[in-house]
Amino acid sequence: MSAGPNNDDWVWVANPDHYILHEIGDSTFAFSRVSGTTHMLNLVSRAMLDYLAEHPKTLTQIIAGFAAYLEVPPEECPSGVVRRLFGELDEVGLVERVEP
Amino acid sequence: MNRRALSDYPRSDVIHALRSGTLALDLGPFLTRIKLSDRRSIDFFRDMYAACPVSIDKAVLCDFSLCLRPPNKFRKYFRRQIVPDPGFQFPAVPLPLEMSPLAFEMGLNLSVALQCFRFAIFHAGVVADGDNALIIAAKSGGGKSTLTAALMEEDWRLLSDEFAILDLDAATLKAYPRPVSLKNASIDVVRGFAGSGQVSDTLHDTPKGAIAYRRPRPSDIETMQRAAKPRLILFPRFTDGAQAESREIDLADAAMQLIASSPNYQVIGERAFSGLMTMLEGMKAYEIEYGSTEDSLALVRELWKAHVP
Amino acid sequence: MSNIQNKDGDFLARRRQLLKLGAAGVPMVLTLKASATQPVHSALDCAFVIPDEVTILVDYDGKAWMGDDSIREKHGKYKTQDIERFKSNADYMFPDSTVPERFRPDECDTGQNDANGNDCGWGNDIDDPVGDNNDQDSCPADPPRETPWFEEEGEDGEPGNRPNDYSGNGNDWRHGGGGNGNGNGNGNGNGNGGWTDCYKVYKISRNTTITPADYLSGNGNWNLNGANGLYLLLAGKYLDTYGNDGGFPGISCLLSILNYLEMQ
Repeated sequence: MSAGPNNDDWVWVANPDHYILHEIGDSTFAFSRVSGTTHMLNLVSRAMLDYLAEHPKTLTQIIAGFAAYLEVPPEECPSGVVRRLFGELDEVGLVERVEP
Repeated sequence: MNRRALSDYPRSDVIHALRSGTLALDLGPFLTRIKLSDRRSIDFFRDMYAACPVSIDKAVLCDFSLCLRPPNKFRKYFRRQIVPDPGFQFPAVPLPLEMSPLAFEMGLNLSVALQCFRFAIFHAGVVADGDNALIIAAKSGGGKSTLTAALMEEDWRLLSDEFAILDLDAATLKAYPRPVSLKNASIDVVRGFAGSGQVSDTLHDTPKGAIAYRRPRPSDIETMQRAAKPRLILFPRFTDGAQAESREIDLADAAMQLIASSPNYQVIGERAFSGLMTMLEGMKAYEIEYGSTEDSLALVRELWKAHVP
Repeated sequence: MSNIQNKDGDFLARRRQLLKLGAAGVPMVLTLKASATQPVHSALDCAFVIPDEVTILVDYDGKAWMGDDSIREKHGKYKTQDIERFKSNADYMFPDSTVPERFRPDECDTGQNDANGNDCGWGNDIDDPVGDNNDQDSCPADPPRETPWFEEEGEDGEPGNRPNDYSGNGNDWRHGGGGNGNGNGNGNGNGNGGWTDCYKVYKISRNTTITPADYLSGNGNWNLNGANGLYLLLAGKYLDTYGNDGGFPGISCLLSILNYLEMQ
């Protein structure tokens, strides 16, 4: 499923038309209109989804900017975690590759 | 459609209609055409569903059709077996003929679980206090049915022992008051407080152990068109000798468990998602653990009082 | 504004905690799988309890005896006298080739060859297709049979009605083997005073709970191993011959599962 998004020419976005979100406490339930599956996101994965819904980004940009978006120091948001989190969203189809 | 309580029809008419497959059971949101041929399932049906409206008019259009039949020709004559046939292919569990009431109840469960797409179905018991519903979600053997039957004795309405049937537009639960399935030790427990006359004969050595059914009350049938708004979800756990205890759980976790228990959520898709999320708004979820029926009732009373105005 | 976007200090602390969990490899996205077949699968949930300690004796040819007598063991060998007593008192007996090789003894080197091994299988003498109890004078009587179409020709591979094989090697537990009525001279020495390694003993302790579904793979094949697996295998053999009768513990549960698989 995952496209292995390591080509820096590729840009990624979360398209809010393709999912429905519903919050229950700190959790967010996301229903994917594309796959018909329901996913449960925590505060961090929800933030990543919102971050990617703002405008398309390359993975390098995502890694570079996500800590600031979360308002945490970069050392608390290591690139490996960001990369894997992005991979999880990609895996379930909540983020999409778009033309630059 | 001409329908009246099953018990109002002459016995011979009912038997004839069941044998010829023209009897339609009108229960909650579903009309089910039923065909039975063996004496035990016919007796069971006439006893447990006596208060339910039925029609013996063969022109009635039904939601489901259920027939109990031998799995093959051999089993009609040798070590006689029976399977529920809801009209579609599924992995049936042939049972000895004497277990036909169990096959019948399993068949009705399968019909609803695998053929209903108007409502989102979740595996749970539901009882109601007026128009407010309590969902009792549990794995098989967790104490769901015993607690459901016990709450009936406290004048809760029985909506269903098996399914929470969610009206996706109204976010309310529909009633489908069929007999409450009791297993093993819970049979005598329920006989003790409901009275032997309210519980069917016990089927021994079934794949699920000993099974008996607590019949719905006439009042459950009379009020079955009255939907209820769910307020509280309980995940009961009976543990012999346990102290009574309740623990609030994250509603998101409860939602996960409900979805995992649903046979049709995935098929319905977006409407099921939205309906479930709407239903959960304002609800609370608890795990309760107890070692006796009295303790379970006390916990329910306490939580209900705390959360439902 | 959603609660999640309402960022108070506590909110940020929770995010930071989650990031730590993420660094530890905890998934951040859970996908919910609704189970379309869950009500059906409940048929597989059954379990049963072995009420008393059970001993299963297996010989080199795949015969098995089940009972509750004790068998003395020393250095991997068993007291011949105990073996004989156990066999004669066994509650259930299963014929040649019932037990797959992986459950049988690895070797059998008593050096004796009495050439009198018999085949006290479940009837099915080739000259006696109805399987009465007169196959061989030396054999204990076969239990009564209710399935007249079963192994009428006494051949390996009966007209079984369940298509699913367990993952054993050769001896399908639903396909009756052997039983051709010929003594086989198998060389199982059995002098009364000595010790023998021509048998293997399996024990299941009292109150053991067996959940047959635990031995099923996702595609419906059996992965039977250990004493409990052997018990299930023998229960299946018994079931195919005698059906859901006779008080063999766990038969109803197993029947529900086999029937489930049959319909797959």
